Amino acid sequence: MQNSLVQFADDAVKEAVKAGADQADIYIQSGRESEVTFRMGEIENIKEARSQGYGLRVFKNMKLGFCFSSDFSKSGMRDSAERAVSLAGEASADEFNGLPRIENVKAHSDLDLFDREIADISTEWKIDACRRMEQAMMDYDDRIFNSEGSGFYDGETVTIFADSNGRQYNFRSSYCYLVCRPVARQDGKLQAGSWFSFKRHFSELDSPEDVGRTATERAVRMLGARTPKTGRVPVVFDNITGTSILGSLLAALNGDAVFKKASYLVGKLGQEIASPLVTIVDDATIKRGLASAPFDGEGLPGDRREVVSNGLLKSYLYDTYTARKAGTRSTANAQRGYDSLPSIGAFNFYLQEGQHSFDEIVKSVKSGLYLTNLMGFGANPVTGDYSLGASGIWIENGELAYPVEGITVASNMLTMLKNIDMVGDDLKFLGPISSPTFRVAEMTVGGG
Amino acid sequence: MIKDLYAEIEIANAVKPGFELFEHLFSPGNIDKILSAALGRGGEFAEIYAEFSVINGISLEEGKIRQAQTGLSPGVGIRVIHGEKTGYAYSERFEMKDLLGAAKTASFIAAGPGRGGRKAVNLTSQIAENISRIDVYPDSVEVTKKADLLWRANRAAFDKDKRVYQVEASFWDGIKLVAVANSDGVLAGDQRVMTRFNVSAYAAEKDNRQTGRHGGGGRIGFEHFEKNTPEMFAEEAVRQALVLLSAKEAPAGPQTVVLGNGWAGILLHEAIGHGLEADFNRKGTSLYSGRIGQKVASELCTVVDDGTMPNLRGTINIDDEGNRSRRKILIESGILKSYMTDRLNARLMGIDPTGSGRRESYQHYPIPRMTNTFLLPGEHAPEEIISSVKRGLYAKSFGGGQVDISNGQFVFQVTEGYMIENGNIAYPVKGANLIGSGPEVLQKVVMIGNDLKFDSGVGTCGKDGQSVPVGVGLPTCKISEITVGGTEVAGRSMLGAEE
Repeated sequence: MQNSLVQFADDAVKEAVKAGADQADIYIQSGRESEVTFRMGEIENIKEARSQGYGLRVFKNMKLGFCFSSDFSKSGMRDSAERAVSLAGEASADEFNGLPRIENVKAHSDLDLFDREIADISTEWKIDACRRMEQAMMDYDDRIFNSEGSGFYDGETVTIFADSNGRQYNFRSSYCYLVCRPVARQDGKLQAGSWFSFKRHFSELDSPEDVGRTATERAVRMLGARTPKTGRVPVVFDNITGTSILGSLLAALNGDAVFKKASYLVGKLGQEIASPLVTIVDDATIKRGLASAPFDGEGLPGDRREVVSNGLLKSYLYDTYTARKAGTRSTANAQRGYDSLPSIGAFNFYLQEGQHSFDEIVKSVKSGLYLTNLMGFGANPVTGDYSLGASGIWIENGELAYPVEGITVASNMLTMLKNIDMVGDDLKFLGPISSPTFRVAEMTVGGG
Repeated sequence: MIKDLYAEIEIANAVKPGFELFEHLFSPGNIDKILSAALGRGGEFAEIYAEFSVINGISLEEGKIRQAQTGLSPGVGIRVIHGEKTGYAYSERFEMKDLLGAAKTASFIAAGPGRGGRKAVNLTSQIAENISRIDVYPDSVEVTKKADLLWRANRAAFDKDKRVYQVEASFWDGIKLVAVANSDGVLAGDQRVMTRFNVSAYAAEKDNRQTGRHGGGGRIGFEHFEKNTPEMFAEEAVRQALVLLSAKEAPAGPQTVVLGNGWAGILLHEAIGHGLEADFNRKGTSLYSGRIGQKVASELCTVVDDGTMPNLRGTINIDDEGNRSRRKILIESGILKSYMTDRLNARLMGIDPTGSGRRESYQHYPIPRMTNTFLLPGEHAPEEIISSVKRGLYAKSFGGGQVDISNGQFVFQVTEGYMIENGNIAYPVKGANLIGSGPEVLQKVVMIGNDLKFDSGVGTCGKDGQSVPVGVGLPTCKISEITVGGTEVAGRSMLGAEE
């Protein structure tokens, strides 16, 4: 299978050149996905499928055209190549277009992203895992009366890259994911909670019981939530809400947005944009990392890079095109799926952990918000303003006191980053973006 | 047989290869073989859903056509239902061996040996009525003409105001041919056109940079852009950016809010629409579970979900299970009337399907979804509503929104807002969002305008990892109190929770 796809990648790039492209590259993804969802003691859905597709990017006279397809036949390949080349004719010439210039680069080879055991997990085991997870969820607290469903998801992908400069790389990756969504009830009011475990390797997955109990904890602790009064208070972000802030920052670090002056980080390179406690890393090379990859969407190996170092902005994120426009080098942050052109994105993106324990951070707050859930959309990447719906636990005199909901938190990213005055020692790599607990000295919390 | 399905529809050139694939796949012999394989272990219901989808895009930035692209996604999904359980498998290949393989995979949801002597399904073709008239299929339009729209928008945005420093525009069009056959004998098909034009303008005054966006489209042909010109899109985007340049910080806290007509209908979508989808209600996880016949909103409110409105983005001739699209009254004068449901939940709840079973693509099984959701108009002129507010927020335009089904908490982002002072629009504000609980906010609707408007065709709704196009509509609407999240706080009291 893999060999024939590698051959296809080579042939398709040649076909594109034959069709008139000056340069071409291809990105193929071929994989299997499986889903078992379960609710209140019964299976809900079982889904199994294999699928594959490719995207062919061509440059002709410095113009860019693109075609994606799942037709791997000879005629399909020819058709895709011809369409992409013909569409390139409709675009404008741009001197910055083109493949990365070949340098001595090698894809990473030791990231351990593939677990061959995952394909062998039986459906029976998956169903049983869901059953155990929901049992633990129900047993842990009798206020859990319902479930929005739990599930086990897994899959494997072969990713193949080739270009007309003769570079060609491929890798296999796998994932498995457990999720549990209990609903708690008290005095006729419902609160849903959710927890998950997401890993490259099956052996690292949390036990279904742990996932179920954590989900229940997160649901029941919100029962009886009230709405606090509006004001300015310290806000403590947890491992989940912290990642949402980091995700917002990513949009502003995008080299394309910066070049177009559509980012609040324009002109801030080398400047202090955050408190000295803040070091933010983009790392392609974490072993078994959920967003690790041997190469980016243009076949360039990513790195471990501090984008913010002790508060100083060190780097924007670039792909080849935007780097050339900005007069710099690609940071290998071209993200790509088979059905789209490369765009700028991060690998494993995280806030480096600090000195303080979770307890110390909570104890430091006289009256403020422990923020456990955010709703809505992130910061405006042009201005950095943001305002999100939120819920969490109110902190009083250094103790988690009672749940609160119906609130908004608002600030500007730059103000907020500078106001981070405590960073926790509890960084967890739960997903592609990761964060330890951290405290922002003061934010506007909108409530009743 | 398959030809009959599209008797009222002119099949677009781009999806003709799909039609040929369907003709082969949906021969009576093949359908029966696949359905038999799917029911081979005793499932009660089996379904074949085939799709052939083409998408084209072109974009402009920095005064250049950045790229032009196309893509092709054909595929077939096979679903088997057994009790409350669903088995699903899909294939991008239309060969019988792949489809029989997928059918077998899906069949395993049922554990039994299968019933012998099953009779062949007697399929009845349903002719899809074509709700949305399309004169010029976008796929048949030369790419240079689409590029022209982008160039015109670019020029118009820069001409509009000197403070504009960056313009982006894109044009996307898609055509999807679908066909469904199931073991109940349904055979139905649809062709869905989707067009979308977007313009973003960035404007600056010294260090203050703001962006305005305007997009629009729907199930429309290229002729739409003769009346709705790219200049109009560009000017609207620029206008929004300029308003934001002079906007002040939004005040936080509870206040009276007037929702502008059109896209603000996202409030209904988030505040109540999702809570009325049958899956959440069957499972008892929605706060509207078991509340049909009860008062859930102010008596001024009649909320409708209607998939049959010509050319709107959420419109479908049939849903993705082959049921005819319908108009449903969800709430009538404040009383909860009905849920939106797919086939599975309808059967389990003992109600009729409402044409609400939708899916993102052949890779997904259908779930209950909205189409075009809106509030019926009231009697007040919009000016009358604004002049009735002593102090409050006029939320004219929104970004997106989100809802938690269990506790009803929703949030949405105001992209264009103004403070109202003594009945007059005083000054623009930025950075506001609204948060509340669906039932509470609908009880607080105190005035409804006579100016119902639908959004310009930009909504995409995400649920369970599936995105589908939707429409929303709203007349100008006054809500007596809603919490506004903003950055400015009057007074600086330390706070605790309200007792």
